[in-house]
Amino acid sequence: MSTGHTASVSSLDTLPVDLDKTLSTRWKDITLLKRLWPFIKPHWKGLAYSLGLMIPISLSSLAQPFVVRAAIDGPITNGNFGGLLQYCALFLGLLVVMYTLRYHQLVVSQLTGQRIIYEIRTHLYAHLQNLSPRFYQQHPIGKIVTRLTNDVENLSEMFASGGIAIVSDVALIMGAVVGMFLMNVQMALITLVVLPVVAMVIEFFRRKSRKTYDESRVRVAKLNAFLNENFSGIEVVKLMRREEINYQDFERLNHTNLKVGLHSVFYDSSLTASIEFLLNLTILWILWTGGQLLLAGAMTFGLLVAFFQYAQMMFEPIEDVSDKYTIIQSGLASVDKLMDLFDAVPEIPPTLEIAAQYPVAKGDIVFDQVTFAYLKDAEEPILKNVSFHVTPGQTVAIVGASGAGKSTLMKLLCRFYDVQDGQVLLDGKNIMQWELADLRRNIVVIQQDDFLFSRSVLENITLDTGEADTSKLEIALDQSNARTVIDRLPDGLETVLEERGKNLSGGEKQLILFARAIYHQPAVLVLDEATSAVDPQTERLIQAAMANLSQQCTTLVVAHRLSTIEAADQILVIEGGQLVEQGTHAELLAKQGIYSGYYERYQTQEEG
Amino acid sequence: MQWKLWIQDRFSHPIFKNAGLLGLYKREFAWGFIALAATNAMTVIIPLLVQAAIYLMDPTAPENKDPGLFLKVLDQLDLGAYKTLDTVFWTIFATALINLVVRVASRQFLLGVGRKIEYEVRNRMYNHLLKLPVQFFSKYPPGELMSRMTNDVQIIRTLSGGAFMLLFNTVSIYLFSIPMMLMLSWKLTLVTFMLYPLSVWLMSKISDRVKTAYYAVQAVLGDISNQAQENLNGMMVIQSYAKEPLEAKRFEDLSNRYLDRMGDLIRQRVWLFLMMAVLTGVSMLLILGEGGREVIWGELGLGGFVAFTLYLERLSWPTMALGWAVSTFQQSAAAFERLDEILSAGPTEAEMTSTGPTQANTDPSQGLSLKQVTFAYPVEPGTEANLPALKDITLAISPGTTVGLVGPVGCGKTTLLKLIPKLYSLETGHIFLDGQDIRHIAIEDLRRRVVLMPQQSFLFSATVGQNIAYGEPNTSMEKLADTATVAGVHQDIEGFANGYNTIVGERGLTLSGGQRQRSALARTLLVESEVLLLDDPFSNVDSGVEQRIIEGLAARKTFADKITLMATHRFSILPSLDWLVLMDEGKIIATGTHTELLASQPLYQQLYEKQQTQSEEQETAS
Repeated sequence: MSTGHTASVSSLDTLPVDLDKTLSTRWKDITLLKRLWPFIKPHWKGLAYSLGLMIPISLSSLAQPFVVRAAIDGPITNGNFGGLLQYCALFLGLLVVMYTLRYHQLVVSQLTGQRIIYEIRTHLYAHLQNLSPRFYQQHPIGKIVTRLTNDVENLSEMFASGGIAIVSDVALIMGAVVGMFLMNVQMALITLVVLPVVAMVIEFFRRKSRKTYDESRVRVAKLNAFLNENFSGIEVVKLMRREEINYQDFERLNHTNLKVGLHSVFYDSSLTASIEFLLNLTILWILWTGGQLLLAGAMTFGLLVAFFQYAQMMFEPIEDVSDKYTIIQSGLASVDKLMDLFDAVPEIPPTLEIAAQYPVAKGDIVFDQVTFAYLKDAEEPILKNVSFHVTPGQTVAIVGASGAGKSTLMKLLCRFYDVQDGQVLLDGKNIMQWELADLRRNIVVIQQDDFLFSRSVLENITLDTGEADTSKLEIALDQSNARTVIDRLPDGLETVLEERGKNLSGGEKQLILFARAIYHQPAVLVLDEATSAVDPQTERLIQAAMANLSQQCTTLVVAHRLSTIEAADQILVIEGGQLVEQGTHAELLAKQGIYSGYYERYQTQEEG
Repeated sequence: MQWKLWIQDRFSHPIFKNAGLLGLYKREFAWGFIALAATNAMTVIIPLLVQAAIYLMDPTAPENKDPGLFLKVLDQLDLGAYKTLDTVFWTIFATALINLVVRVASRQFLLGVGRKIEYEVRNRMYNHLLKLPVQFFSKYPPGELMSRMTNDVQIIRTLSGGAFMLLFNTVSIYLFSIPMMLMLSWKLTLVTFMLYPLSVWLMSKISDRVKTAYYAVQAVLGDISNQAQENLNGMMVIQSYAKEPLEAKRFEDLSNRYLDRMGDLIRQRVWLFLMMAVLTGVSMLLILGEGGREVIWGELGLGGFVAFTLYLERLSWPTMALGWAVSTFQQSAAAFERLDEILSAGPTEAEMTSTGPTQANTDPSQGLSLKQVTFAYPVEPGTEANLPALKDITLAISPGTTVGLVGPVGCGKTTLLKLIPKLYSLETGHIFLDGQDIRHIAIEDLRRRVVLMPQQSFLFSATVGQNIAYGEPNTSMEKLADTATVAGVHQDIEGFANGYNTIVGERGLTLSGGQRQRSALARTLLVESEVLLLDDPFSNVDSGVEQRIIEGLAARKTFADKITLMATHRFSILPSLDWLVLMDEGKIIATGTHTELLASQPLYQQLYEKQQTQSEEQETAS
């Protein structure tokens, strides 16, 4: 064996990349835009309005050269100063109209863009709330946050400076084309020969550029995931003296990012320069063909100069479109990523409306021949044909080696996952027939290392922003003994916790989590090794609280503590995903089976 | 002296503070600017060539009074023979070709600099962040730091790449065009640019507002990022309490606030953008009026008038782009300030270590000792100080001993452990390692000698093997497996599909709590330290496994001369430890062996007996 497992190799190369779709599976841009339609639809009026304003704006802008030309041909050549002032007034009028409309149009269009962004962001967040733990295990949270912030921001750029600007550019190009045909069909055709070439060049660089943009997104996402993790785990980084190695890893990621960035800069630069080159060639082309026509007497100087102006008028927006194109590209890449998230199908169909009232369950639980595997095609399911019945108010201890499937049982009960075979019943009704929200409001789960929000302690207990129910709160604080923690905190219940409750010790956190559970008055309480991080003194208090609670509700505990196990009305022994023994403490001891082996070990340990 | 203040204000832009950063790439900037200037020269030349071509097509036409600069230059150089249409066409073609190459080069240099600066700033930030103490990270949540390292850094990139390029582009095109315009009519030139000072003043007013609005937008975006981060991490809680609608509402409120702030920013930005367009439009109006007057009064030819409008047209796009560049410049001020906040954040851990007299002779037999340690968690200046978490702790542990830290929740065990590897810096009292005050031991050195396993078992998204070898990346596979065996996680890992190469999720999510904790234990044990600090290392481990780990640890030879300090709530292991420290409310109540404490300390008796009687009660009941 070698040192092949050393951690100096950047771990990020092995990050799951399923969010980063490869180019081959890329959809057509149109399809992507179609998928945006539901978010655009509520705001189509704003869009249509700002697009509609383009017409008077373009007209007033195209009218300006006409005014100038008319002024030159009229009063200026005739020496009529008064007439000139009239044209100046007309010109001023055009400016006022144009800029007023333009201000209005820019604000409306960008605001509409932002409103669409708002739709996407809030819908995406609501959608994310419907996805089950499996999704969050597979997708680094740092990446999802990038979607909700950076990618959504990209979209806003796409709408604001991209979409609307492109429409106005297209309007200008069309205007120039129409103008040319009105002036001279032959010269118009000669000039327009250039357009396909321009389109081809843009298309060529577009493809190249898109590839680098995609890669760039992947790199940035990886960089973000790396940073997020390293900031969250900064304590470990420092304690393990990883500063240097991690800096090198980061530098490597950052450098790859730079290389990709420089590639995309090259394609961007080439595109812009090529368009400028084509403009110069077009002028040369007009000069050459137009010159021949001129020598043949088929055209005038004035017309030639006018065509230069039109070519310029046409190329400026084309160049602008190509600039905006990169914004659109980056926006589309983001749309793709966002749609991937929208495509993640909720494993458990969520309840869309959560009613204020819900049927309170008695807390009768039946597991009937339940089989479950985390992976659909796993060889060994984590649970096999597990059946048991818990009557209301009972306290059940689940015992078994770690990895035996104890926690899985809990996750099935509140439908974080659905069983593959068999069924789970609450109050005699298959949990799949319960409204999901009603089911979950009846079952409170306390997981090991459960999550605390960086909000006030009160909000962490009530999980609500409104007024707390004082009587429920009092009961919760008393029964959980969380009061002892709260008394110690500087602002009591109003103390805002640090990220993940870092300013609380493990035991203090447990007490708060208990208060949270009790406050919600569940019919079923599920404790997943929750008592483990609490010191014996506090645990004793919690045991007392649990005694109260278990009179009011059905309690399932994944337990390691002998006291918890012994106090249970029923003990389930899980081994290798199967329910191997079941009964009261006395019954199981009498059996002299697996449980009594466990028991002896626990005993010797706790008695030291 | 308003203008002085104004100038001072302009030059206090944080960009000047960070000029060194831009200076790193002065060669790229120089080449880029040269190439850009060359490109703009070509842009001014081509119209002259066109003028020449038109002249050559029909030199006799009455409108063609002026052969133009190009043909005049040819005459001057005695190259009259080349005054043909073909020469002019080929010169146009050559100029266009050179322009193509030079334009690519200028953009590659200048936009590339943006990327390089982005890279450099990120490296510097991360490097600096790694040097900051953990308390900094509790002030700045990951979402906040990430937003700075991505969004703000990107703005710096746009500034140093795009905005500078546009700025210089505008400047150079003016430099090339203004002489031409002055040549045509100095009066008209003056009138045309008459409004520029006014608009510059207006623009600076508006861009101040853009800056304020931008700050507000970024702040809300940071909130959104944090909220998203936190809610995604706590999604199981939200789901299991069916609080989705409430949280969605919260997120919507935040998004609404963002929309409001964004509305302000949009209005200010549009103003700024339109300022430039209005300027061009009004200039055109002035040319029409004044230029028309000059033509009527015979001061200017019609050709000159048309040329003037053409030059203005050439100036209009770069001038409008100037608006964008200025707004980026303003945005970058906010971004720079936010980056500076990180880059100049201090003190670093190294700075917190005093460089005071280092004791030359360390004495390993002295072990680890704490002398009158009192500690309160640091607070932001200006806020009320925290109550001390540790009060007057004095303690000495000799090498080869294993000491247990016991006491109720919140008694200061974790704080005590965190002070030893200097995760927080000590103000009052001393901690000695081998007779040397840890204040004088370099962090790097200290953390090699003292290793702490924190309460929360944080794993990185890497393979299990990489996670365990985190502190000793160059360890051998044998040693890795051996340590994992001692920590009781080897069998679990062997059971995984890819063994030690199995990747664990972002926060080690695919592992059970116990597996995570045992992996973290293995990670800690792998570091060959003098002092081993364990903070509740078995809280998520099954009792049976815990016993095996303890036995395995005791059997290890390396343990013989190590100091082990273990905070624990598990009384089962306490009798086997050398002696114990009983703590309550930040103070040491007593020290002694399990038997001694049991005999003399009511608190210890209380803690211990509760557990005992509990199991006995149950036994008699059964």
